[in-house]
Amino acid sequence: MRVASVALRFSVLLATVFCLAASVRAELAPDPASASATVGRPGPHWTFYLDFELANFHGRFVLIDGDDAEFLAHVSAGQMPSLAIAPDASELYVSETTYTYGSRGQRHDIVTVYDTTHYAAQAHIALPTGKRALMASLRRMTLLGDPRFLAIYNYTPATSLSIVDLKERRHVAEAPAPGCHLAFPTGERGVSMLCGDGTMATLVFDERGELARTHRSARFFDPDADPIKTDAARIGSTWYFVSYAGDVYPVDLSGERPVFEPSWALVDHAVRPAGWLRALLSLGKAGPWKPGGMQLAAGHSARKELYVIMHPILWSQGKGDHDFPGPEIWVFDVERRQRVRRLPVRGVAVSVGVTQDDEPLLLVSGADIETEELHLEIYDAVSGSFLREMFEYGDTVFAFEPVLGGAR
Amino acid sequence: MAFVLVVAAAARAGGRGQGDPRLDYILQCQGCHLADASGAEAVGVPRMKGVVGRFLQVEGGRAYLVQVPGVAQAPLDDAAIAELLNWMLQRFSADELPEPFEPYLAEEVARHRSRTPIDVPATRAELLARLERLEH
Amino acid sequence: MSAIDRMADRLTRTLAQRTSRRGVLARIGAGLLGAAATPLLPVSRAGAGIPNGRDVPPTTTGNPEDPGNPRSCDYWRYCGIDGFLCSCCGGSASSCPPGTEMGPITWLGTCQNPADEKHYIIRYNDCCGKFACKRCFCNRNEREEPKYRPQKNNEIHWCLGTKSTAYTCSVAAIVGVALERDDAGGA
Repeated sequence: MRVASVALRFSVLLATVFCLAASVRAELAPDPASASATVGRPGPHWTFYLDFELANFHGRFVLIDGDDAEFLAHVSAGQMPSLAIAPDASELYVSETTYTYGSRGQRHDIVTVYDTTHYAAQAHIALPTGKRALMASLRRMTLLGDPRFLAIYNYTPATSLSIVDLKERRHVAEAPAPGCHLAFPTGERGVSMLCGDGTMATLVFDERGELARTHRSARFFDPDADPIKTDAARIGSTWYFVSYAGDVYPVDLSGERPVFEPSWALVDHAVRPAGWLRALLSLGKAGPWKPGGMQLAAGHSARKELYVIMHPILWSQGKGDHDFPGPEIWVFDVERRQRVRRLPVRGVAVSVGVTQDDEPLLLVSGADIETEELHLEIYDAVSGSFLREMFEYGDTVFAFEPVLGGAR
Repeated sequence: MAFVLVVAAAARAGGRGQGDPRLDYILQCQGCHLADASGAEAVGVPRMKGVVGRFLQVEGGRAYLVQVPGVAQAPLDDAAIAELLNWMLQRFSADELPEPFEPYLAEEVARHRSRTPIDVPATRAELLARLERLEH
Repeated sequence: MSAIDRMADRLTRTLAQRTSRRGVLARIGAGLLGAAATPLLPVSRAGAGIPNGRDVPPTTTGNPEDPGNPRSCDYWRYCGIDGFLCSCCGGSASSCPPGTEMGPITWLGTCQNPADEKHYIIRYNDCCGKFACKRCFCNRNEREEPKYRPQKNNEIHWCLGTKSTAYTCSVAAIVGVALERDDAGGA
């Protein structure tokens, strides 16, 4: 008791001495009443991810630096937003749907323009009300080859494209596209869409953003025998569509019309189901594998590499498993049409992204198999080694969009 | 024959009626056009009930009904499409059908189906204008 | 079929049961993960990322011809469902929660009822007008097709033609029988 009392008195004395000493040194200046950080030029490992909010199906695009998993900036958007990044990374375009009273009231469909220094909204461009496609999907919006124009895919369920002139900051045209879906930039001012009969429709716009002409391709895949996933990966100007069964359909969209390259197999279709002993010893990994996931494929343009999330068929039973996550990312050299690496992830991957630089990072939205916790993980895309993880990223990491050199 | 039955059963189990027009309508069309074919004009789903048969009264109308993407792109063979169209026309628009009603056959479906126009709304508007002129 | 094949078949089925639906990873966001899981690994209940209804008290239809728990992703009618179950938020397998509006436009598929082995036509409507139910998220994708086949796609927000597109939850209503039996094994 007595000891404690002495100690207390001594510490009070000590504190007083320190305070006096501190008052002699420079004090911390008061912080400004109002301050906002700014963001510099993007680094090669900067990426956005779409955090899909379960509470209201709104979304956020969060900018992180893959080198330290640091949160740099974000934009918050309304229902089921889409993101496009200007080729020079000077602006962001976010299409979103909101209501005046949260979940009720007047519907507004807009494109919000952000600058990339302050990450502040610079303009709100009104779209035709009630048409924007609300679905859990990428490729619902794209910049055209001429980045003055932005195309937004509509689904009411009637389908069309809305064209926005970003220079004039206004919606200029709506072009019908019956039976055709999503939006892939084609040539200088074209947009290709996937149609229900396995063809592509290409809508070409003029220098004012008005529809100039349309093309319909031949059938390039069989949607009944083996559907292709719509979350395609871009390598250069070629898009790689992965099919349910594990074939890939490359489509070159550099010219005015799509050019279809021969499809090839990501998996050995001759592999038979494993016997029970091998199945058991391999923890189910013996036997055939299949692609699956949400953003299940990503491309690296300079390395000509295609990254695809794969799972063993014994895990998924092979039925309705096109969204099934996988424990490995398989990397293919698209020129040699060969698998060059198998990159196991820590748990399973749902979505994958790749930065476009010389020392690329592999961005993985995944889940821990035992705890079911969702993770945002960063790997070395070449060696496959795990580098780091971002904690407290939000609700669900739905997709990645690297800032530089990625898909538009 | 056994093989055909197996394929048909598999197709149906897989959500494809393929040849049973009522089932094909439910699985391929009803989601948007609704059970009574009343549609939802406000969101771009045309009404077929009491309307669709009128298209057979004007030139281009028979082809149009095959070429609308919901029909042309349905995962059904030409014979099943013919059956589906005949069933829909009689079920939802019997009063508007021309006399005598000439049912679709697979060959006619195949002919029109291979030439699907992209601008369906423009084609539709033109056909409706033709119908308008016909009635005045 | 050899004895070994039969054993393999049995193992596969066991794995399937253990790994399907409620298995290891519930699913993600509005349409991602399916029924993932890993065979032969212990499954802990800690820290699930997405509310998957595992701890929601079960319910029944009370009809032996309509077996299962409508608050579980395993319930037979949910073979193509993607979203929160309305049966966990004041609605049922076929009706919307109070104050929400059923979207009239949607997609239809088929599911097999284990009780009579018939394939039923199922209407997957979304309930709209309030923000999400946030309970019992399921994502099963049997016979689900990509966006270019919207009449078979479960990732579309089926709140079309409703007063608000705010997504609340999903139902799976019976329309009728598609196929008497599946003796062809062609599901």
